[in-house]
Amino acid sequence: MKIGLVSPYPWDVPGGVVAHVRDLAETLIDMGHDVSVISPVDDEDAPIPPWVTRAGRTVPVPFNGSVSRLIFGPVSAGRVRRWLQEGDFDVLHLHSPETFSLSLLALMNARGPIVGTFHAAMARSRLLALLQSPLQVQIEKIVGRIAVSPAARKTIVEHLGGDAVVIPNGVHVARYADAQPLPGWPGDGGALGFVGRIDEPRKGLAVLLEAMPYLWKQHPELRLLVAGPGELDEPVDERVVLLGQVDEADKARVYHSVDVFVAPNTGGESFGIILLEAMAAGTPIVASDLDAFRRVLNGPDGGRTGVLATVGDPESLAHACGALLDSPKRRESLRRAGLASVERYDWSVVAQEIVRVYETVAVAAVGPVVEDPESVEAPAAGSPAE
Amino acid sequence: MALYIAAAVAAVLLAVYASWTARRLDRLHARVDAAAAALDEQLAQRAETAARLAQRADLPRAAVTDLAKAAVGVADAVGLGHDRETLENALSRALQDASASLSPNGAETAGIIDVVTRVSFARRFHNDAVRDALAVRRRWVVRLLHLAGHAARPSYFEMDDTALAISDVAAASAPYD
Repeated sequence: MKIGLVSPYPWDVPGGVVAHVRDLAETLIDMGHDVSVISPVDDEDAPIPPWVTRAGRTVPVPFNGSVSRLIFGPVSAGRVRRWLQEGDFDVLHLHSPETFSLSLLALMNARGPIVGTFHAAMARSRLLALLQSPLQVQIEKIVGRIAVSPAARKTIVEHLGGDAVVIPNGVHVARYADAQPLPGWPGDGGALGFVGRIDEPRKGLAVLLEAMPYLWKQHPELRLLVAGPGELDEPVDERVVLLGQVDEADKARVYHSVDVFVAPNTGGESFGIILLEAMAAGTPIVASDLDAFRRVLNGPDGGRTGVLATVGDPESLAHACGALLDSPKRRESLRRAGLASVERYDWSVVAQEIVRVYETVAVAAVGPVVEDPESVEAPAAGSPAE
Repeated sequence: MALYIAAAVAAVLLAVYASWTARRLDRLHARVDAAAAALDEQLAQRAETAARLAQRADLPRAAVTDLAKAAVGVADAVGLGHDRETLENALSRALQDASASLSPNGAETAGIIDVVTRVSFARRFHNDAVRDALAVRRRWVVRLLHLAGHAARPSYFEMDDTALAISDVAAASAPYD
């Protein structure tokens, strides 16, 4: 099939949605499909794969407590239109079309077999409620909607009044399974691991740092390996090692470098890709008892492939980690359970499911993706541009 | 005079809004029709798979009889009305019973899961299109000016399309619910 993918965020800024688009594109290409991606790229010199088309740079705009990188303007619109015309796609797949991003711009300019994947799980926001009706007009052009988790699906149902099929996020299992530990890790004193933005409170590093002193009573040599961008306000103990931002290959090595992977998130998680990565690496998991995490940690045979700890409670977290550090046998059984469970999240499986959506939608839409005549007639209708 | 101008402006605005809504509704009706065609196509594929499965000699007699009967029933069905829902549900049950005797990892099971998944996707997308169209049909401008014209009122298609009760498969699709 000729597939056009739209990435809402800059290709050269690491993030979950962009990683999803990249992995999906690579898997589809391996499967023999003809794939083209259009994405914002912030750095004009950043290297991009030959199948990515540059749509221009993004503009940072503060929104909902964090900074959104948006892409607007006639230059990007023109590039999207040309990409759509030249692509002659059997299916157009937009990511996060509910955000004011390149995906929405593409949606405004296209009609036909359009698929949209909704990544976010959000609480009801007043701004979104206000924008609902102009957004609705565009969103209703999407023929097949995918949510990456039940939480993301719930967001669609509540915000947009539609429905979606749930297809989970994928992970390249082999890439994570085959990695080597970083030199000197995990070491004899034991090691815990954390992956995520260190200054994003919802990722929960602060909870884990508070849990460490409890653990050091029994395990004085225990080290904590932290991978992820951001700045901390206070200095950390020397047994805590901050790696900063790491690339994907090193991230895979981080999971192999620790005895227990910890996900102390306090909320706001739609899915929990880090848990899949840890499972693929064969690392036992201690995770906050969040709905999204509980689902990912449900094994195929009904068992749990990780240990749950009370959300935001350092003592509970320390207790769960301590119990695992003390029991190599339990760690081994979790390792096996995780490896068996993560198979169904391998990109080869997940992409197959997404292709089924493409095929269903291609039958439903009769004909390829074309330019929306109304977008040319009245570009301002319902348009958030500028 | 001012009143006339105001009335004229209001009339023009209403006309613009009405024609824009009419085009929007047209587009939604077209989406419903296409989604219905896709659902019909996927249901036909499922019936074909069921008919092929009914040819197998090594399945229990009762399961094969049910399957063949249900497959013939849906093969004659036209449209996506309530009768069709009943017939497709009978086929869902027959498929479920028959697949209980198949190897969970076999090619046939994989084929059934494939068609059943496609049906559930197509049905979700169809009902989604119906929901969007009905929402616009409920607007005052549509009702006041009869913008829906003679287009038939779209209706949801309800049937049991849950995954098959084969242990591995049911578990693997659990996160999808």
